[in-house]
Amino acid sequence: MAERFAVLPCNGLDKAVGPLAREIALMVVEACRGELICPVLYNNIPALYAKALKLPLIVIDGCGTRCASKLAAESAGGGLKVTRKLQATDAFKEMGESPGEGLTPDPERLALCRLLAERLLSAPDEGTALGSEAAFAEPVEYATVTHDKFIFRIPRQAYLFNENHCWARLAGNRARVGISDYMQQELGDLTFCELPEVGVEIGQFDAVGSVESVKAVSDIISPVSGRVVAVNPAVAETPEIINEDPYVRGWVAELELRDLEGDRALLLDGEAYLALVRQKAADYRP
Amino acid sequence: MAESANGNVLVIPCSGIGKVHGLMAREATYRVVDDLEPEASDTLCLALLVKGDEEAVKAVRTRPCITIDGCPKLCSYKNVQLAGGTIAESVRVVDAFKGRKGAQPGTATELAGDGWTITDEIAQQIAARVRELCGGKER
Amino acid sequence: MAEEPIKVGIISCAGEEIPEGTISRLAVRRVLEHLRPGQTVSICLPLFLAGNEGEREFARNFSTITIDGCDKRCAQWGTEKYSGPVNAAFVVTEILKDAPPLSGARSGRNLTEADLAAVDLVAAQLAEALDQAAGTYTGSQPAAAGASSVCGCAVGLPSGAIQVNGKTVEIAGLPLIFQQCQEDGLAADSPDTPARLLAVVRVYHAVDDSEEQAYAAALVEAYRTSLASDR
Repeated sequence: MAERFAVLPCNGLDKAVGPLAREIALMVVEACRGELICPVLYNNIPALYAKALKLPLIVIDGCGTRCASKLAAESAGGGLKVTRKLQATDAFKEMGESPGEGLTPDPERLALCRLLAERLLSAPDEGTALGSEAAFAEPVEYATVTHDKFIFRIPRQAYLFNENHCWARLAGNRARVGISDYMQQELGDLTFCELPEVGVEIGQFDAVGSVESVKAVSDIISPVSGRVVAVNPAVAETPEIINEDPYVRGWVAELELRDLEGDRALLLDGEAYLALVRQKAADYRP
Repeated sequence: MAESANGNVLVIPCSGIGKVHGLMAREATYRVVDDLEPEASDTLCLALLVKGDEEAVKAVRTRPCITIDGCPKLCSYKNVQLAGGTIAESVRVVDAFKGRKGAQPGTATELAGDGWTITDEIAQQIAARVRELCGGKER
Repeated sequence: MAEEPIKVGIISCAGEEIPEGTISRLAVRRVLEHLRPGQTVSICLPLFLAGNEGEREFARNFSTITIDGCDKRCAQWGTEKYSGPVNAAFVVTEILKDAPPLSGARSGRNLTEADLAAVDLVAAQLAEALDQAAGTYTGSQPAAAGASSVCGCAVGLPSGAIQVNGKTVEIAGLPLIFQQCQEDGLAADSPDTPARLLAVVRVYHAVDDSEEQAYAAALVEAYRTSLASDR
């Protein structure tokens, strides 16, 4: 049986993000058959929600004022334990989308709310929150392959690779993807990086963007299948970030995974990719 | 930025041999110092500067310098700075490609059509800066 | 002979101020792309001088040839300072001293037939030096008297023997290495001596990581003997 949640949204009425937070809350409650907590009523008569609050709690704020989070933190008994949370303004920004201006969400905005609701329900619990950089922290250890004067780095753990020299870094039900150090050196200084659209579905080994240098244009072949939930605008603006730091700052897109176990069977772990690069390095021509 | 009171503006490329950008930096320099502003600009061997050649070090410290680097490694900029040079402008060839998707510049040995076109644009930009530094007007 | 071609690094000055710098750069590209593809690694001098570890490490571990535009020899200086002795050092002005004069052009736009012929001449010299460094030279140059080197990169050099883990190992150029160290004032019992000797010998002779200490000890012993015999 799918997990049920209590959901505490903010009550923002005078900005677009307030109604969006409410919509996300309603979608989450409907999807998980959870309990909706009215922040105004809870603030006045908290006892009315004693039973509901036995469920794990999701808090949804519209903006940086974080009224719902503050309400949860200031509740009697040392505050409520929050399992997951979302702040709508940040979440829209991360998707490269605008919350809009109107107080009634349009169909496009509602579709994005649905996406965020689904993410909330499938996200890891608090500690590796949605979009958290900590979830994609620096790999512990790099192995290297040296060929002539060229040194190629490969993270030994936490990354999966395909034979197109693209990687996926896993965190819960999400993965970031990018190109390997071998590939960025083979291409040389990157001048363009095309990002995918947020919301698109990507199949395993589909193109999830592209990179261009003076030598070549190359598709970024996604090692995993899923839906694009975030992109990295920094690499579109400054593609050389991928040359400088292909495995961490040089991520291109973040996917909500669809079939990790199925995808994994066709991928290489760090050691196997290391062996592949050793083989390829002999043919490397800068 | 200070005018060129002590002599010609120095235009110093990285000349990286491994990439087409290095060749473009070199050729843009020659376009400026040989063709566009031969009376107002000179170039200088970067390797000589790094070696600590006295004349080269003195030149970068007493004349305004424009560095042209092929790639983000910034070999010319960093080495001129380390030598105590006054960098009036730092140009990166790779930036010139960002507005030119699909450009075909050639190779590290020989430039092709786009390579020369972009090189000449960079050279015009630098020549304008040379004129500014010498107190002249921009076109 | 190794199955894979022995790679040799070439470092060019690419001096911007003089036409010979352009000749130098183009000659290296000619060797890299046409004369000895797959056998040459060009080291980018600006990157090398700026401290790129890949460039410097390669130059430490492999044979190197430098080509400078003029007698200031920046490429040779940089390579010896940051990575170690070079196998061969060339200067364009010396190679071209009997050739027709250059046009004076520095840009690729303006090079003449004479300039391109100069590139060919310099490239040919580099290719020959590369073959010698890689042990594939088939020219008629006689080996120096007493040469018995087993190392492909040291044709014509006197060699010396040391004892490593109970086996006799011939090291190409060992007498000359000891001579240079002696001239530099390196004492046999200095704490720097083992590392210094090992670093120089490694340019000419492959040393497995597992035998480093044994090699260093044997070299110090041989050096001590060499110093004692010179007194």
